[in-house]
Amino acid sequence: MAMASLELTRRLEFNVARALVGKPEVVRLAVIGLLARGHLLIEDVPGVGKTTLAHALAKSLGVGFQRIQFTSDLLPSDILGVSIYDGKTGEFVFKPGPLFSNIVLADEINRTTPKTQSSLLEAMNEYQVSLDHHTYPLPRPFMVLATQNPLEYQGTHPLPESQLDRFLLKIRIGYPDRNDEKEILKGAGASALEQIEPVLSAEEVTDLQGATEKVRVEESLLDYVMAIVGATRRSPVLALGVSPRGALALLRASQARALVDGREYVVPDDIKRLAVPALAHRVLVRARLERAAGSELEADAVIDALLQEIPVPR
Amino acid sequence: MSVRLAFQICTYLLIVDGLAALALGGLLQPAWWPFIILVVMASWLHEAVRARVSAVVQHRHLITILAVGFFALDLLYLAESILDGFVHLLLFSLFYKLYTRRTLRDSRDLLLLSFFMLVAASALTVSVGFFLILIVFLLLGTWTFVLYHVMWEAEKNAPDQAAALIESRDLVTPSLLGLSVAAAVASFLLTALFFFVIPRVGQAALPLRARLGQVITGFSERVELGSFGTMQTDMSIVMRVELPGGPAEPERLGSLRWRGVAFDHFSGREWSVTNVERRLLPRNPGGQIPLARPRGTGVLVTQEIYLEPIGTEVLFAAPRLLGMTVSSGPVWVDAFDSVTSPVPQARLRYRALSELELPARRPRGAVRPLSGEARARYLQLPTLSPRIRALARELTGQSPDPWPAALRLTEHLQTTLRYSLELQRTPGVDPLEDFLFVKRSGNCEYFATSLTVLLRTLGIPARVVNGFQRGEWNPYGGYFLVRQRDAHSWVEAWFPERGWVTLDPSPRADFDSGWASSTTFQYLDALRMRWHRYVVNWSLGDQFRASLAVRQQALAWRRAFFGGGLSFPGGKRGMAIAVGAVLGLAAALFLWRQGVALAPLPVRRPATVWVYERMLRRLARLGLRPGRGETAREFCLRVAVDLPEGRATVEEITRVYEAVRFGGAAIAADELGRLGRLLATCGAPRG
Repeated sequence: MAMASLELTRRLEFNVARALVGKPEVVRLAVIGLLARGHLLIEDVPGVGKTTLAHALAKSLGVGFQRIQFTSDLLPSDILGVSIYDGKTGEFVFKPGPLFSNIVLADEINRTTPKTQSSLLEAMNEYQVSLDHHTYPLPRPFMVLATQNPLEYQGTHPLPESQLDRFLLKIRIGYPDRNDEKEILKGAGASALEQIEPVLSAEEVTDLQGATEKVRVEESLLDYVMAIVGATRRSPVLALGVSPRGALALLRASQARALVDGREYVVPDDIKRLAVPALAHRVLVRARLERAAGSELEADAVIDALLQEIPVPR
Repeated sequence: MSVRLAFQICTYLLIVDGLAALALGGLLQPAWWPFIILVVMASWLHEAVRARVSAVVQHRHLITILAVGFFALDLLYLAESILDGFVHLLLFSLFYKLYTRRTLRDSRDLLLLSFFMLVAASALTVSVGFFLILIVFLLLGTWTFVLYHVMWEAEKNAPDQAAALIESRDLVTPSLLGLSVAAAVASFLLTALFFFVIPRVGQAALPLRARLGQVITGFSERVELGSFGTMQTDMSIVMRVELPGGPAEPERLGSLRWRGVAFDHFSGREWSVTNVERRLLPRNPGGQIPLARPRGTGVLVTQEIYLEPIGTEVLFAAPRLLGMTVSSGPVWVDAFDSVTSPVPQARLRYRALSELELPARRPRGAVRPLSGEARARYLQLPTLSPRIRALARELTGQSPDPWPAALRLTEHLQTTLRYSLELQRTPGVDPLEDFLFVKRSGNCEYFATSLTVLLRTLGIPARVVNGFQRGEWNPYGGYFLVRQRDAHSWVEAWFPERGWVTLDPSPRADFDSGWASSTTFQYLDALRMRWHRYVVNWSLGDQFRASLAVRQQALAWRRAFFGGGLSFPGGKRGMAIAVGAVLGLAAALFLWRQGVALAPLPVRRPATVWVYERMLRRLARLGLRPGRGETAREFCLRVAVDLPEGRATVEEITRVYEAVRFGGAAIAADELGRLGRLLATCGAPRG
């Protein structure tokens, strides 16, 4: 079982990595997010490959892909869909919006109004859309890949804490290495994206997601997760600690990491490696109000420091 | 410390313990000690020595035949006793094994040999030192057998990695040592319980080869004047006397002394017994030997006497003796109320009941008059200097009453003459005359003899008694310690209305004051006494008394709790407090037990985790310790950088460890063995 899963995830990772050159660890985090039934928030400057990553992932899976460019005038109906009066039948017919797809790329999500942002809430959490007294289930697998640019503030609406909490992981891509960038200049990534063929079916993805949930978590590792979460709540540096949802997210992500690593059990390293991407966007650093810039990095540092102090199960 | 080294050290210590037991039992001549110590010590360096010895050992069968022949001869003709022959054989086997041991079995044989040495010595010694040797053997022996078992199991279950395990330094832990000590203490307590509870049939065993203490004179049928002189400078212990159920402060009983033999005939230089006939005393069904009836002259005192083997057949007891309990052998009494039994070969324990004399008090009832023949004997006198008779008359005047006359003579001797142990007599002068008129000093024998002679010149029947004075009170053990220096002479005189009365003319109290044993000595002696009393001499009677005491105590408690608290100290309130305390204690115990039961049981750690922890300990010795927040893999990466040669091993063990610890994977025994070997062959830790 583990070997079959490993084979599938390796194939997926390899395929995506062809498009996103030189960032295997980012690719892995994206795959982890997919297997853990989570959503990803990709935060970085423009042009480092945020969209390429989302696109490559969607194409590799051979599932539906929609890209929504978030702007300040975007309305909830623009993404959820609308009910239109059908003259022939004399009834309102629901026309699904771009959200009704498997992989949704919400580009520059912080550019739109909080109203539109919050319309994503139910979809991300419940995998369904409620409209006009009707509930419309979303297709499976369903994954939102949101991107945001941390450096522009003019006319942006930072995501509220409740919305941030719904993202399983927040990842950064970062600039590529010198050699890798040269490869990109030679056109390695662009041509690859076009050539990407689906390597995993939707069923295989749901199977992998099922297998992720069965990954064994030893009792002491639950205690380890609790210890980390508890430390964020007690830390004097943090104004807001991690919610139980955050703890669950860390656990799920760790299970997915174990599977991606070819194991059927979680080891402390899984939890430790994922603590920053899974938790840093859920905490509030006290100094945040005074120093708006670089606050996220500071949260990373706080969590990293906490991890060094929490005893690892042996 | 590795298991092998710990085992070897313990084995040698046990051998030394066994040899010490033999030395204590007198089975090893002191002259041989250096040789034996040298041989045993040299065998420690066996690797070098064994190579040369092994050449000899090839002729093992020849050696065995020669040894058997020699020891047959030794047992039959050469050795002092069978036990000595046995000890020679034991020593030979010990040396042989020490120099030829190769396997674990040989080491086990060495342990057995040291045990045999202890057994051999146990038959010969009653010393409290043996107890120490036994305790050491018990503690060390348990520990050694734990180590032996570890090594044996390793050889049996994992022959290919036994060598690595035995050399491993991680097995000898304080907790294992603690477990072994606990086991030793528990087995000691259990053995002690058996010892005290299992009925002791027959007599306490006598040592096989008794050694007499210094044989002392002064208690035979004929005693020369001044023979006590040398004894009275000797500190050897003669006996110890307990007064069970006696007065609260026995050390205040001034008139206590231990009577031995009496003499009637004085030749001018020596005392002797004219009537040597002895009467065998019958025992009553309870084992007691009745001797006389109480006369109402003083308090009754029971004495428990432990007489050292001093080569005399006299049984000492406080005068006037009413009855005795001697466990075995015939007991005789002579015409002078001296009690004797066959010369004991070992320390003799007996009980005596005496009625102390208070000179002021007259006995109740009529006193049986002395027969004419006895009267003549007690008035016998040698040819005396006229000065002595004159002295007696001068001191007593014409007083017709013998009792005041006797008191006046005693007082005169006590006050005008000096007590001294310097017994140089003037040549050519009668010793008694020399003492009374020339030197005017001497020891108790001279005082007693003078008083007896003076009394006899006045027609008062008298005799000299030899025995011991009270001795030194040991407050820690609660007994009188009597030494040879306490040897003493006094006088018994007969008065028509009083019978035999003790008179002591020696002013010895002043001479003896200011001398005492050290506190340390008293402690040690009390310990020796207890050892003898409760271990060596533990008898059926003691068991009966102890069980009776337990039963009485239990009955008292039962009455206190269920009989209305009549005898409970502090009345009803005290009882309420006690019951409350007991209930509280029970509740606390219950809660504690509950707490223990509710607490999660410690998780049984799989063997792989154990191998991993061993690896961690090993790395720790190299200064590589995982940090608080460092995972196994992170640590593994760090080790790979700092210790490149150990990288493969550490990675492999970490991988398997994680699979077992977090993945719940089962691991085959051979895989575990492989890991153990991997760790063992990883190279000895540097530094």
